[in-house]
Amino acid sequence: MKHLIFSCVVLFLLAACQSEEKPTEQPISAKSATENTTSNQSADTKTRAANQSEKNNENIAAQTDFLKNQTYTRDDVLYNESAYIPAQCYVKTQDELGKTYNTCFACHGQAIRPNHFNDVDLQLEYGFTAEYTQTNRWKNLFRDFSTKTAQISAQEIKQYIKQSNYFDENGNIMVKQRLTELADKAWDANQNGQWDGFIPDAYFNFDNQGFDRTPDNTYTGWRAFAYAPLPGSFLPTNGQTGDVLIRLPKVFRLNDKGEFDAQVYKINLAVVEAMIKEQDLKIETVDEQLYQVDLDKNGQLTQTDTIKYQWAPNQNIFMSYVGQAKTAFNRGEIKMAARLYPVGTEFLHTLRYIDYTQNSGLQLANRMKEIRYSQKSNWNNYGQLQNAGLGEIKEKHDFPDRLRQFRGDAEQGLQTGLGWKMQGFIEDKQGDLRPQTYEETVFCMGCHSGISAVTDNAFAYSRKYNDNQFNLGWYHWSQKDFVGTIERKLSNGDNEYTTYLKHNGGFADEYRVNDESKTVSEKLAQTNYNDLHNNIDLLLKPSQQRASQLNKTYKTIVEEQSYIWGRTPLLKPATNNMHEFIKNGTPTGLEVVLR
Amino acid sequence: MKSNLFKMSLLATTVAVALAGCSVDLDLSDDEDDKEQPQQQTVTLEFAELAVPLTDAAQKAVRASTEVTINGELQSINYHTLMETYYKDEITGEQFGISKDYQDEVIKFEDGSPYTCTGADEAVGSGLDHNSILQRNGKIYMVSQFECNIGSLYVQQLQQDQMGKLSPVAGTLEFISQKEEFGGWIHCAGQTTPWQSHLGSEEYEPSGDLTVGTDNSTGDGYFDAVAPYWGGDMNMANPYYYGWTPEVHINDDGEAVYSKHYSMGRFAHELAYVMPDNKTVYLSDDGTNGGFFMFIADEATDLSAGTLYAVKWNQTSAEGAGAADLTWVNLGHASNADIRPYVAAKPHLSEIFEIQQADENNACSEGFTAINTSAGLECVKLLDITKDGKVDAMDEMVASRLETRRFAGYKGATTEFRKEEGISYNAKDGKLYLAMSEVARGMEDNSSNDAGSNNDIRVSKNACGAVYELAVGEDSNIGSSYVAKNISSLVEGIPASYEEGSDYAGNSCDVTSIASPDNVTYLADSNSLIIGEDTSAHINNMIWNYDLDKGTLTRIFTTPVDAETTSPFWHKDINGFGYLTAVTQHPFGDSSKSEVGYVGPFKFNSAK
Repeated sequence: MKHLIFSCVVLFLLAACQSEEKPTEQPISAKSATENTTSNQSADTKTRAANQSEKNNENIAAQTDFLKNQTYTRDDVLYNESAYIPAQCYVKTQDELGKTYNTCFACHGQAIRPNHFNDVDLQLEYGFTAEYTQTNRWKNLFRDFSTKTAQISAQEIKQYIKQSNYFDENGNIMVKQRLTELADKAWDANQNGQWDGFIPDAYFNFDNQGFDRTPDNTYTGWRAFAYAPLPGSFLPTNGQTGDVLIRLPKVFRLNDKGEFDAQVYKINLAVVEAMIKEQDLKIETVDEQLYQVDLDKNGQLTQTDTIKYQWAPNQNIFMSYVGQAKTAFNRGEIKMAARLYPVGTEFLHTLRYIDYTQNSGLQLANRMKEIRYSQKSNWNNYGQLQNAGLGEIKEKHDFPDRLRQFRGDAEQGLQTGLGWKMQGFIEDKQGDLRPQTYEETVFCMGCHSGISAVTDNAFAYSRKYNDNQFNLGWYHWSQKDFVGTIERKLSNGDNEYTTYLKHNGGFADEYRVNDESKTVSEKLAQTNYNDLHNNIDLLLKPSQQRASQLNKTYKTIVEEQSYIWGRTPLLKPATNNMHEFIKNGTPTGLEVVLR
Repeated sequence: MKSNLFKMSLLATTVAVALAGCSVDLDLSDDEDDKEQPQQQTVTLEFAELAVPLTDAAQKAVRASTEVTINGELQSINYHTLMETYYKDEITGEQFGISKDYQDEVIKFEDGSPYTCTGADEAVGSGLDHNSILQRNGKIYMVSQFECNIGSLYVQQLQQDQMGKLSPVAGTLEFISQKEEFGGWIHCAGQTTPWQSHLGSEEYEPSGDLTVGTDNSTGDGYFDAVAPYWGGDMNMANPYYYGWTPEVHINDDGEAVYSKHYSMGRFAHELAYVMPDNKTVYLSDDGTNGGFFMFIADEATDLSAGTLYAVKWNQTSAEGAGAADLTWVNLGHASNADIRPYVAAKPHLSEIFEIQQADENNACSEGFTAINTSAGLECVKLLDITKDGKVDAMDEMVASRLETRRFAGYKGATTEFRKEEGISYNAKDGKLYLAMSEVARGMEDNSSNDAGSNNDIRVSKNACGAVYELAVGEDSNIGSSYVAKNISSLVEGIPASYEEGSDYAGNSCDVTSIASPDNVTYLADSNSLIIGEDTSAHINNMIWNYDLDKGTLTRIFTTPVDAETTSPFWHKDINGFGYLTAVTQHPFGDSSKSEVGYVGPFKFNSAK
């Protein structure tokens, strides 16, 4: 019995979600690939032909109004029915010389309960059990955008990315207004005349604790934190900058009197962090007497700077929140368990173009490529989560050709099936933020559920910097960049990025087309990566020239609105390093790398 | 929302079944003149066919045929929930769906939650799968089984009021211990046997070649999930504990008595279906390259000993989903008592068969037999399992039950079926129905799944599946009047490729026919077969009424995307009332709680 995970998936945390377009001239026939019993070779040939024809007629995509076919509900047919499987899963793990490249480990490895999607096997073989998924439909990764990007001047792209598409000149959140007014009636997926989904409400105006403040200085509830970006596509050198904010439900922000209390909120965020990481955490010194909770578990209510992680419900050992959340927890109204977030937890994750400060420091561009939003909607206990994980294994065994289906729509988000809903906003042709279509949202699902790398369907918070780091990791990248930030360690103590580079021929990207990163990597190798261990900026920050090209390339995808063909900007086609078709069960030739 | 959906779904299903099968059952309370031969009443069934749901709203809704007349008369029926997962009996203290360990202690996960067989709240996972209603000791009992790696069984008394309404009797929910037989596993479909017992099934048997390592794990996460049953010690577990056919009957004292029938072999039991002689049992094997099995019990109503057969498909036609004469390969006689000691000895596959890889021509070395089962192409040699110095009939007996599918292949039977599902029997016409979720893989001519094997089934792929009809009759050698003699395709799905822009785009099976048939239900003495789907090839699962006389399909029900009912079972006469029970595992709502309910009661004998 093989362990089969429904999505292969590599790094796309960031890479975001794709759209449900049905280009009128479908370059790769989705349907024929599914139903074609003769098949594999034939699908492969078709793919090749399609890609070739695309190369020959570069303008077709630009001329096609993909958007007109996109929908915000699950329409009958998606361009890519397995859009949840990202392009990284189709990377060739060996080159012509037989040299191996393992980037799979970033997402696929040993799962830690209550995640039961063990997927070490996906480091060893391509797990495309459904025939349909054997065909790679991420055709943008095979395209050469250089002709188009040559038409965009450096000044033009610079101006473009520096202009905010989130705030208007008065500081109002533009997308909020557009959504409220239903600027496009099609966004109203449930057709009730109003927008029922998430409305972006962060001001990206952070205090020295990372708390987001409105223009009149009140708390929005969002708090920025610094985390180690997932290796691969999410690294700025590969195409974009980004940030992540967290917000816990209101009850976690209130003290016993029912008042907003930043100190209470900070402690509760730390308790959640300790639970997610299953480790002790340093906090600012607090007086336990105020909260009547023995945070450091020393048996007395004292001053402490530590959240002690001890949790074993079957031995009657529990952690506690503080303030009103403590009361609610004691009443059983809210739950707590290791590696699970409280219901109502929200993440806000923006992807930006790459920009630089006047001092050439890396910074997030004002212009957003995407806003990604997730909210935990249901509590599933350990038993339910195990059941769900095992259920998927059996489903794969019983119905190997079945593809994942997601409930929900683009307006209210798609459900992962494991307690979270995901939603996204992306640039329209003019660069304004619009809701992602159904298929564009499906793109989010494969990375955020069904793989071992996620902790309760999320990545960043479990990768948050904390002890011994600046401000205990509570800051926005606009307040401090990557300079001097240390490398994250794997469970065996190895440095994560270093391990990635070593197993990927020195490339920082899965597609092995980021030549600049290879040069950087070679230089880093000269000091045995010691420089990198203490300063990830050396690897993460692209040169300004490269950044400009990446920005331009992505802009051409925006102009085409061809996100469903892949939204990762590549400066040259990854054709040599990507399978256009790969048979299920094909060995990768890799040695397993444990995280 | 969920219960409404389910209500509607069952309503529709029942209506369909009722409509379909509403000929009059002979009711004990019937006071008609006994001298008159019971007259086969003409049942008039009329219902409007449902259109294929096209709009987003329709695709998210339960849609059922509502305009129904039975013999020209509208009958009022209602849906009733019987039990939900998590139902707590405050008197016995038992909670419906909780699994217990080998000492019958409640299993708890690390977060303190009890092991309850239910999926995530958004309906991912497995849960309650089948319920049997049993009439014993003048009472009504319901036995329920759960489809989890540590699968529990529960019994509950039901009360029936004068109007026929059923409800649980407080203080009677009891956990049925399976500890005497190593616990339960992935309980799938089931049947209320003619002798009023619950006959279940353990599906998706774990591979016998798993070995527990020093890390207390076999590396197979699916099997390793039984660890909590054994107090966390995988060395106490064994794959051969699972993949059998459990039975529960109620004794004279009203107690549930559990047994596991090692006699009927070990494979991916979807359903064990007893024929009217109370001796012949058909057993479907879910998965790829499965067999189809028949068991003839030595004694009526006692399945603990008997002879097991595997079918051999002797193809007579390749048209459609094919037709064949069936012969039955005798896999030998065995009893539970014969086999249990070998199960208890915690065997390993390598002690049963020596297995080698075939050469590049799919051939095996001298002394080895090529078989191609769910495990793929293998060269096998039977070993001296009993360790008596010779490979003989005793070893064959043990292998025939512990490794039934491999042994069937070894004996030349057909192991090429793909996803066998529901079984139902029509006594009126002597026809058995068997759903094949898809006609593919080993069933195709010389597919890769046929490498090294018989290639008995040589038909074209039909990803939309088929329902077969099997003619049964007397076989004096086998000693049963219910032996399937031939098989032919009765109704098939039709692969389709709707152009983009078509109303039906997104359906890969024609919307005018079935796709991935799952459960089939025939109501006695009717000409109507109900066929349920478990498919991704129709955007919405459908339930069909197949008119056996006319050969026509009528779409009577469509489910919302993802919603699913399992194991519908017709209880035609419980103290004069008829009920259709079914379980919903994946309700389209906020909760994942599986529940069992019924539509009814029906008074068939009041139908004109």
